[in-house]
Amino acid sequence: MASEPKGSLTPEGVAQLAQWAGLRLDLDRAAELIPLLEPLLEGDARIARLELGLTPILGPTWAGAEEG
Amino acid sequence: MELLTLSIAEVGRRFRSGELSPVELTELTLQRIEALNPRLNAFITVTPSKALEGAQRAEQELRSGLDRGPLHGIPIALKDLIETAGIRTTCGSKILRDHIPQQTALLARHLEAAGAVLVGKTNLLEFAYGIVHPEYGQTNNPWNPLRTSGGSSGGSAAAVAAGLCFAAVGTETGGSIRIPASYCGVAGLKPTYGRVSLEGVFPLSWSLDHAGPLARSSEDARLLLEGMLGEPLPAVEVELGQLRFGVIQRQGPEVEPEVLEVFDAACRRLEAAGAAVQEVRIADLELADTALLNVLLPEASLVHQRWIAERPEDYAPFTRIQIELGFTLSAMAHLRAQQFRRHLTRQFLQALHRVDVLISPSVAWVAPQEDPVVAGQAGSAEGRRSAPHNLTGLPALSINAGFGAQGLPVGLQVIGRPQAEAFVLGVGTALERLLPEAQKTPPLA
Repeated sequence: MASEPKGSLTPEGVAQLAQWAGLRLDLDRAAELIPLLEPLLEGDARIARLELGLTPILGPTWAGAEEG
Repeated sequence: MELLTLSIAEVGRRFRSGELSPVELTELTLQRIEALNPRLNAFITVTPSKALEGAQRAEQELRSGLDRGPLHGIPIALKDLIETAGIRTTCGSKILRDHIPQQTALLARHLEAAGAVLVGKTNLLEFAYGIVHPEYGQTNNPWNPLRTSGGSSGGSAAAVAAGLCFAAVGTETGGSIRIPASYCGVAGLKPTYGRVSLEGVFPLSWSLDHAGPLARSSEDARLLLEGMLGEPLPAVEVELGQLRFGVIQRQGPEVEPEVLEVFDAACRRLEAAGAAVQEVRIADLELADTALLNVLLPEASLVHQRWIAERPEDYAPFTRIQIELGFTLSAMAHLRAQQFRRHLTRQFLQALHRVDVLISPSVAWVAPQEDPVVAGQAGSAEGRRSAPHNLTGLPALSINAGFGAQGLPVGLQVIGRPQAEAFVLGVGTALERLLPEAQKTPPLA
């Protein structure tokens, strides 16, 4: 289960994440992203607490859904 | 001006009776664009030669008995991220400012085949991604040019509202048809995900992107959608008094009192017409803001990965930040958000088992001075009532429900079951009849 991040992001860490994903960022730019990234991670942690099971993610979102 | 605000059906009747000709109407439309576009900035490219050529062809065909249907000879516009062979398609960006496609998008080819007359390509937020590029500037609102027309299909909404075309195609990923429709007081439909082909439409986030119509009425929007699809989409006649309406997202700290007032008044009119109106709760809807961004940001960053590495300075500053942000999100966050979409869709489908349609305010507020950025708090609040339906893919329509204290339009949103756009548009038409005082055009000289 994911835990909520509490101000633990650093420019170095954010720049490293971007670099692993294929984009070089200088530390000033990485620092600008922190206030935008934190709420996204917090929101993801809340989604992670839901019991979503092994929902497939291919096809229309309503595929196989029960309407009743 | 009166001719330019007629319904598409009435224009078609006049074309066929000989009272009006496609060339005459297109000339009037082009004159109005010339007069008002400097103030509104709704068009990036106007195509007068192509428009007049198309109008002449339509006129000859109609005279000779070749009738292509309701859009034959009707002036329309396309958002400038829809490819048009030989006509530049900028995506509102510096990066593609000189881009002239060799192909025309499938939906635009369908519209050509229906005889629609393209008058130009409309302004948008840069790559439809939440902020205006300074090279193009904001589309100003026809109801108050000191306000925005909304994003990202603001040019299409403003052009329709101001009588610069009869209908226009927009696209959206989190509300970019319905938000400008709400701000400009027109009808804007996000069809079911996948219903309209996106071939030849520049992507923002492929699993959330939709193309749809904007028009001055739900019926005109239906006719444009039919043309985009290239197949019949029959009108559905709806009796409001026999329907069950589920109200969602009526309240929230971001909802302006004038929006709530207009929305509640519309609900009371529905009840007076005999409809059943009840509040409905959608579980976990409050997580939709995050889920949208955790899907959208990485997908958009992948689309832009080459340009953001090679020419980052060519993006507007906040577009660049949003693209960079997408590189920092994990695959787990993205996939969980994708899973959440299925969960959210189940909640909506269960609600739509108990009611015929869901309704909400389209946006929490009337048109602001500027568009908020997508990834910020204000951007999330702006899209809070539209974005859930990009996540689920269900059809959602914004119609004008009235005007707030400042005289600016207030949209009401109708959400239906998958593939039920004809029914949703039928509900929109019935609501427009119920709220005739809201069906006005802006007082532009």
